[in-house]
Amino acid sequence: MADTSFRETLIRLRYKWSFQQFIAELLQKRWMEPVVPFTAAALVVLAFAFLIPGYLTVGNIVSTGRQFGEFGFVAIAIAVVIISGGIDLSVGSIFAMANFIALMLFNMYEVSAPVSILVTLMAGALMGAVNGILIGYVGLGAFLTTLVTMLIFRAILNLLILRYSVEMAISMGDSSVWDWLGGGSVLGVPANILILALVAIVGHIFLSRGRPGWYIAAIGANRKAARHAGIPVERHLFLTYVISGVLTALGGVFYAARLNSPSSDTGVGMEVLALTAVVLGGVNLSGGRGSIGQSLIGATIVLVLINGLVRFGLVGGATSAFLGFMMLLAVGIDVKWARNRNKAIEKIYVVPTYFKLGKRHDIAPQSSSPYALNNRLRDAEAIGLGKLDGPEDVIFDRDGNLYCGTREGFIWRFSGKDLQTQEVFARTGGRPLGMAFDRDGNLIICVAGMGVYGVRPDRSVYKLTDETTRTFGKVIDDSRLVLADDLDIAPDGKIYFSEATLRYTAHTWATDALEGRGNGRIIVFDPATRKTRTLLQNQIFPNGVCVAHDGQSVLFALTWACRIERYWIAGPKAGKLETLIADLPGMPDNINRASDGCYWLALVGLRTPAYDLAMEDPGFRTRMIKRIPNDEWLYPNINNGCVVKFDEHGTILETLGDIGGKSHPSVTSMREERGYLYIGGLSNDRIGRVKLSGVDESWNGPASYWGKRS
Amino acid sequence: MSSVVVDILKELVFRNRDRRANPVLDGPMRPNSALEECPVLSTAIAEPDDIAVAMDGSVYVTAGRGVHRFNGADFSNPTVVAEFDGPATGIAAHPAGGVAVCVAGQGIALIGGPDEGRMLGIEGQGGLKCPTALVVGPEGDIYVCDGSRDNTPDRWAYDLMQKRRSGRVLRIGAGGQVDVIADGLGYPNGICVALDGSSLIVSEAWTHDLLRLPMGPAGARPRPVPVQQNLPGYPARIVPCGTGYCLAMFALRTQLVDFVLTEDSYRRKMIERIEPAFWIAPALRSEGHYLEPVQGGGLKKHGSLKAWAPPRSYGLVVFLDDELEPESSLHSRVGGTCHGITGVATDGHQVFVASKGNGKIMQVTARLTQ
Repeated sequence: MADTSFRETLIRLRYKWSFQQFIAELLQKRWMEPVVPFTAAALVVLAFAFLIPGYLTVGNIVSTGRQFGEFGFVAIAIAVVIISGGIDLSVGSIFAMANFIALMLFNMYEVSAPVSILVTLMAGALMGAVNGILIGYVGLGAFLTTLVTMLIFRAILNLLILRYSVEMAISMGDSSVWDWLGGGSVLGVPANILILALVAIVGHIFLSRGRPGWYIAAIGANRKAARHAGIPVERHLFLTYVISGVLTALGGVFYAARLNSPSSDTGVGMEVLALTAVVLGGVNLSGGRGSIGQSLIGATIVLVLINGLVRFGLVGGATSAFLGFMMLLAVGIDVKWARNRNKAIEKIYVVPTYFKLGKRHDIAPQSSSPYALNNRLRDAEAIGLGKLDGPEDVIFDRDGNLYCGTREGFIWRFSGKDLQTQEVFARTGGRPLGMAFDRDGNLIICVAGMGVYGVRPDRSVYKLTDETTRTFGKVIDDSRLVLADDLDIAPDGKIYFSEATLRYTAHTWATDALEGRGNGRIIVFDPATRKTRTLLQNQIFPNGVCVAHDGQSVLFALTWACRIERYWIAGPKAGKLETLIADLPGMPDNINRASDGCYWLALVGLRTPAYDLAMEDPGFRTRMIKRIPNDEWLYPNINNGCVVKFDEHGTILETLGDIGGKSHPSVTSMREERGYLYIGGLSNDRIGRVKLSGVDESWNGPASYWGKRS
Repeated sequence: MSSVVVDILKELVFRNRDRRANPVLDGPMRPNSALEECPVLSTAIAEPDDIAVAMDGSVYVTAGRGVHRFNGADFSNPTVVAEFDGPATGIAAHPAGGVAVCVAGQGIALIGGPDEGRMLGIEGQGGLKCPTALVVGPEGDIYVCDGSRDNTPDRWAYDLMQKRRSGRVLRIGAGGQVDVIADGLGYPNGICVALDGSSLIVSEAWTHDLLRLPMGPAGARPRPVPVQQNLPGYPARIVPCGTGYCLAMFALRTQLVDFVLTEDSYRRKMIERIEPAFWIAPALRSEGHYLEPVQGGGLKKHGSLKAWAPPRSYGLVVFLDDELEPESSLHSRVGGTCHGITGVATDGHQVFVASKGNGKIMQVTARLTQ
């Protein structure tokens, strides 16, 4: 026996912290994408540093750096176009043209350096604009169009070189600005690298934070959807080619300043190198995904590889072949990864943990247990039958009107004689779950997927909170409220609410059961200061929340743990957490006050032996999730209805059940009001009403919280 | 994590291996509610197990330890014709008149024929611990399926979850000698003489197969040939019917049960700690008890259970052609009222089935779906 418990301890420790969960969360991060190319770049540099003596000397770094500056501009240029879903093969020709124009202006016509540069950049923009008009506005294919302009620009260049090469060879401009661009440096950093860094930072902000950048990525991801969303697609495509032309021309200027050589083979094959760089950096060739940083990482890999291979003495052809091979490899990996990334995350996202539940109470109808099931809920009078889609919580206002939130995001109101009049009271836009009325008669609602919202008596909806403090050191940003579940309001007006889980949404909540991990939290919102604060972390699906009758503590239910906890908010034990009821025979949901100073508790599901056993075996659940589809997974049995009543000490007093769930399976809430108990269910099609006997028939919720009407 | 990696590697390396995946119900096996619409002849017998039509046209049904008889076409009032010390399971018509019944732990009893009341005790070959079905051959030999050497018939769920393969087919010669003609089977659960008259068809529940066993001379050990593999359910009794066969399936396979069968540690603990009624295992009947395991597709929405939910219990009768290929099928889906079809019999015109799960004797007719 001791042996088993030791084994269990080991298993518990093994599953306490999950590396797999860490990886799954990491993979979801956007900044994870450049990590692989960055690591590759670092490895390549280290490998050459190790293999080639003197590789990491200052001289070599600076000379590689100067090449890198020019090439970096071109890589950024092509990346912008690729992110928009296009391609620009004419960068090599534009680069050479810019080189030529800059030299012609500066050397032959002796125009001042700044003006030469400006005119060159404008020429680049013009060439880009030719591509842009043809592709963006006329609607020609990017590949073919830029292939043709590449040839045309190159042909024009060759004609110009034939015509002017002699004059250019004999003339020579003179400018300190020009010289600085070609060979200057600040603190040992080459000038072009500085400018490149500047352009990269501005470009990164432009692409990742600015509206045009978002539009460009959206167009690249799905052009049709972008058009439907009202994005001016033509203009932004045009823009990307102009940006590409200008950036390439800038690269050409630096080249001109450095080498002063208008040779006709300048920039030949540059488009392929730049493409390789961008793809190696992880920019998706089909558009929509990538960044400036990624393209620069790719450029680093390509240049270091070329440089290193040349120093190894590899002949030119072999280097090209090697680079081509690298590009194929990168494209292949990229395609596979883009297609399977979500699948990979899905496969490893659900991470079950060890959780041993205590002994199960006998709840058989003939047992003498206070939990003994009966069918008192089965004959409940139905309200809104067939007209409600999942009234998770039900509540009454001071005037005796009944409210519930349904799956469409509506808050329904039932009023009039016998609550026969049904109308939409408000629309939340999310999935309304737990509700409570505050002192001023505003309906405060936990809206899954949104946060905590309120509805004023005049039906206007307002936001209370949708975020809390972020936990330090957690991979995923947990500040947003993902699944606010139930709330209650303390006498001082503070709103205590539960967030059931951070990892699943309102329609995948049941999957959280298979994890059995503490993914939820208890949060408090203070309307006076409008501050939201996380009180308790790592709770196992905290669900129903109820402020005790004396206002000194908050009771909350841990659904998968089958426990009721009490958290003291006032009095001598303030800040302490205690377990009030352990080892419930089912999964607790909402808790609400009863008229006699006790509490009603909904059991959404009942524990089954097979499920309890699976909770002790995380490996079993992991493999189940991986191997068989969702509909076949073992789930908690939520097909029966059960409501229990307990007192201040956690003693169970009575049970109302619906065996087999004929009318009320998976009861998620109940509310006592003027002698009746009203029943809500997350996936039911009605609200139930059961007459209670021997209770105070004038007792109602709002009066219990906020006193009799003054 | 490591198990996930191993799984992914396995998938990459053994991409095309036959995983005997649970087949989809399609074609002639497409779900319908035809079984629900079939006439119910009697609900007088609780848990009828197997059914047989004797030469004189009277219908015999085994249930518990007894054998019941309906007189001719009158299904209103069954009479108990025999009671035994062990469970009476398989039953089959005897060509000489009357029926032969197998009784667990005892042997074969002959009822209603010239040998009325005779009991062929089976002592040799380890006895008859778990007889499931029998058929009387053309020569008067009796062929019996012994489902398991480890478990009795009422503990069939243990046999499945313990992954036993100790079932046998025995031949009892006219002189009373007992031969094992096949063993190492996964719960042989039904047997009939094939249409060609020279071989036997045996249904093997745990491997979801139909086997053909040639009938050789006494003492010979024929080699079983699988003729249908990877059936979507657990087959039970089979009878020839017109130009083909009619097969009862007592439950459908689910991916969860097939998965649990690969999980040794979980299964061991489940057998140790949990009552069989609440196992992750097929059942003859499911009333949605609050302690039964529930699967994702079986969660109630708007108060109703979907018919396509993974079935814990199911009703299925399949008509097969002469090559044992399914031709048409009658279903009672999730939430239906004719589950756990264990027995099937025919008088040459009509086909009767016994729903052990819901205590019904029904008449079914082949119907071409599509």
